[in-house]
Amino acid sequence: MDPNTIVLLVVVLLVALLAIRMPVALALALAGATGLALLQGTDFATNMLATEPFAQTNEFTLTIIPMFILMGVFAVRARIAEQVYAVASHLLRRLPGGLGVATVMACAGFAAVSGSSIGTAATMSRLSITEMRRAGYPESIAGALVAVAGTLGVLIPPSVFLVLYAIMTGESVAAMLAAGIVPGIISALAYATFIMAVAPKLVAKPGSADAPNLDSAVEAAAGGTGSESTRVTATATPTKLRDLEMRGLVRVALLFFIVLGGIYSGFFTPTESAAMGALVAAVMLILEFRRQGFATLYEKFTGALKETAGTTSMVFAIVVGSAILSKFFVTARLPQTATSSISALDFSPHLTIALLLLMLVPLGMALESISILVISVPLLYPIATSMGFDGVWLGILIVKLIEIGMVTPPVGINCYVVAGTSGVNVERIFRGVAPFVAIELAVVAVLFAFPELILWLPSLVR
Amino acid sequence: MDRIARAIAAPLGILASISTIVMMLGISADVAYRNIAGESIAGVLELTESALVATVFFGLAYAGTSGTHIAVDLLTSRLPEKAARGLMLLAWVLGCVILGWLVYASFGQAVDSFERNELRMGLVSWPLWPARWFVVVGFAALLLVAMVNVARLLTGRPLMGDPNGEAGSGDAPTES
Amino acid sequence: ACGGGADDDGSTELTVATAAQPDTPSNQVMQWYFNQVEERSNGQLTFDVLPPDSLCEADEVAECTQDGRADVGVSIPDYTPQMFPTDTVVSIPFTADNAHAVTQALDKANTEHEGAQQVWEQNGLVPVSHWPVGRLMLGSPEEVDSMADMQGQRWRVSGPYLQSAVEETGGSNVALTAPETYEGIERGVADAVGFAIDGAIDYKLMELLPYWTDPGTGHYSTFGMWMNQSTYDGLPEDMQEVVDNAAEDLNTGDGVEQFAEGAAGQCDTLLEGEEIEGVDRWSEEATQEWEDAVGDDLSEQWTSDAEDAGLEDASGYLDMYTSALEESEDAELIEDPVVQCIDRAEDE
Ligand code: NA
Ligand code: NA
Repeated sequence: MDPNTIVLLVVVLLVALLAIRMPVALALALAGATGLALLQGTDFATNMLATEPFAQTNEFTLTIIPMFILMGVFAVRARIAEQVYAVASHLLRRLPGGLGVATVMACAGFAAVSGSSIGTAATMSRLSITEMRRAGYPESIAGALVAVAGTLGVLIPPSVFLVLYAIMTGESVAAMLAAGIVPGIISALAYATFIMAVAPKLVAKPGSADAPNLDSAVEAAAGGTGSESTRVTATATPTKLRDLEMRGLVRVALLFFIVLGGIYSGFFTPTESAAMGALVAAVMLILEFRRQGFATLYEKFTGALKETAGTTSMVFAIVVGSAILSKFFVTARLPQTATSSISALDFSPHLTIALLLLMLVPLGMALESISILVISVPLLYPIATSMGFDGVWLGILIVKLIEIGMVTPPVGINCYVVAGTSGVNVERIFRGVAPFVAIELAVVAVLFAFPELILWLPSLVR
Repeated sequence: MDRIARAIAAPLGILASISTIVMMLGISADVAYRNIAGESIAGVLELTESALVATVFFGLAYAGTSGTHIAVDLLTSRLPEKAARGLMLLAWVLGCVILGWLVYASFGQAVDSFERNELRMGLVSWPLWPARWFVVVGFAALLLVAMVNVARLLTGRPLMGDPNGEAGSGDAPTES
Repeated sequence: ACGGGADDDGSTELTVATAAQPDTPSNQVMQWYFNQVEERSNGQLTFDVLPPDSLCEADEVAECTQDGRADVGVSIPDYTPQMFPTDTVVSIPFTADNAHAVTQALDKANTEHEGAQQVWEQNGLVPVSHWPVGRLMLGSPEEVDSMADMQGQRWRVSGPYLQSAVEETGGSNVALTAPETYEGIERGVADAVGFAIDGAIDYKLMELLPYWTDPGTGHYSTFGMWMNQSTYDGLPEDMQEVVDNAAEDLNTGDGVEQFAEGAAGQCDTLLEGEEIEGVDRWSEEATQEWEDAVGDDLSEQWTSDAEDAGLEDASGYLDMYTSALEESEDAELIEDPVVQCIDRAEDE
């Protein structure tokens, strides 16, 4: 069979498997393995299946994912999120979409700690979605907001992704990291503006008739993840700030201070910061429940660990499945074929690069981010730089487009992470993501048209 | 078979949880030691890598029995119950196929790694073969969960870990 | 084209999995070899080089080549030391001074030593060539010109033998993965590094570490190129000859020459680096002091590690390798790019 036919077949197979409700990880692995077997024989496919699961997990830098999930889970069970959001929603009660804006800001802040977008989405989802739901946000919008704002994790330094790009292309690491900051802020502003614009229409007042199944949804979200701490402020918003518990705010500030301070003063690496954050959150959990006896504490602890292990398994299963599918695409020479056919069209440099970059969106729909980076950068970078485009600029655009793929169906890993950690149905998150994709594409267009936005800050460090 | 699947998934879930704590404490201890003594604790990096493999693969079946693995509802919720059930049966039979394939492939890899006494060379020589076996055990346990799901679909019972207690019907959309 | 299947026109396309990034000296060595084979076979043998780390990640390339997913693999044997006990011998400090000699000696010992032959047979790989990735350089925030200067610093070096050598100086070892090294140095998780010159350039450590020096430990790691055994066996005899002859040229000078050519530009980049304060080498006495402190312990450690990894008669292998090194030392010397670079720096 001709490789292009097999590629088409595999894509159809993947969509069909997802349609009949096969778990995403298994659908990706089966589609990829089938393609490899058709293309190169079953031994070849078996060899990929033998090596990839281990290769995609036995990697120190990836410990950051379970550790940030664990930190978020501990923090929620220590009632930190609840306390912080009670204060935030009181302070922001007059601002339309105030809580949504606060969530975006929190994601941006957390992105300055976390080097991965999965880690950011996992932590913030655990901290914010139940609380936003309680404030009357539809779960589709609340979930989508966290999934999308989680992508700031790789744009705002530290970022594993930007460092990897710099090493693959020979660009300056410092320049790459600096280049992510302004686009990160622009993206955050865009999300916040959108939330403020739609909030008056979409967000129901708590307790009003516009929020018919709010309570049941909140309960489902809490019940699905074993949290039982969410009843305190659900009924009435206290009118006076001094009635609120402020220690959550203090603890969150402390968590940020320790993690961020630890990274920037060199006590630990960004990878290690996740474990340190989890440790500090664990101590806070102990402090919160120290008076309720060992049994309660033990239950809180083991519940948090089991939840973390389950979510970690789910995320990595998808990463492994995606890696197997990605090996199929590489073996079928799909990226090369696509790149050379676009280059052969002989369009103007700007149009050619724009088309090559847009090619990342469908790739992003089916693959996980590191896979896309590894297969696309060696193809795009030489073409773009030979046409005179800046490599740093290209890198940021590539990262932005790959991150769009992280929130789009069928394989939008950030949405799965949010669904897995918050208990919100993933189809609903995908529905909520649609307007954000339009916003993201607009941000990309602005960055494409005005390279100075990306290149100004790195020009100061270079 | 149900009971066997749970009896296997639950302790694996505990092992996965313990590995999570090992990662957290291992990395924290290394950070502390490095800032006090000025050097890394030999073997912690390798230990946490193996712990990550353990968390991921031991947690697979636990995630399977607690309904954490994610599937997308593109079609089945719009179909009549019987048709949906038939398609999901197909999905889980195919799931058994790919999981069986993964068990077979990773088993060969683990045997090979054990026979070669595969090591990772860092500050210490760290054996890699135990972690290779974690992969086999994890896939095998998830295969068992998948087989239980096939049996459940055939006998009209809900999938393992289905929060609705009702297979084939996703939650009804509630928003306008 | 896997397994060396012939196309309609009788030509064979070999799939290549590589860990060498484009525009690196090792990539140039690899490309030179592929061009030679294509030319000498009149286009009968061609190579399809997939982007680095795409078909197989760097530490999986050897296995990918072994099981036939790739026909040819190019990667660093130290990533999977268990498979390549015959190549880790280079990582014993103070043994390998001259890249040309190392390439030639490794070729000789790998093909002539019986235990080595068994290792390759077991691996299902045909060794094509191994060339050093470059002399070890120390990059540091302050000048480091002797063992005393290394004391008390936290070092990021790779490989168990270099780490032992660092401990002899009173320095300590910090475990950081290569991609994490930049941020680790930037934030002060580690103070200094030992790396080939590409650590300074490709990993951008020259942005952070102003002093680079050659402590005289010599070469410490290699790039290897291997062919899948059944791919090789499936080639017609005349094509095997083409592959072998081009490999011989690669191993007897052309490879190291290509590497030096590719590395020449790296020297410009290093010397022109705005943050660079000094590029120099240790005095002979300083190097001798460290070498004496390390002694023979590491050779003994290597011998026992290699035996454990399945290399029979490892000490015989070490002797054969060492005497081959000595023989080649006198052969026509191809100027080492790092030695040249330091000479240039000292002239300026
Ligand atoms: Na970040
Ligand atoms: Na996607």
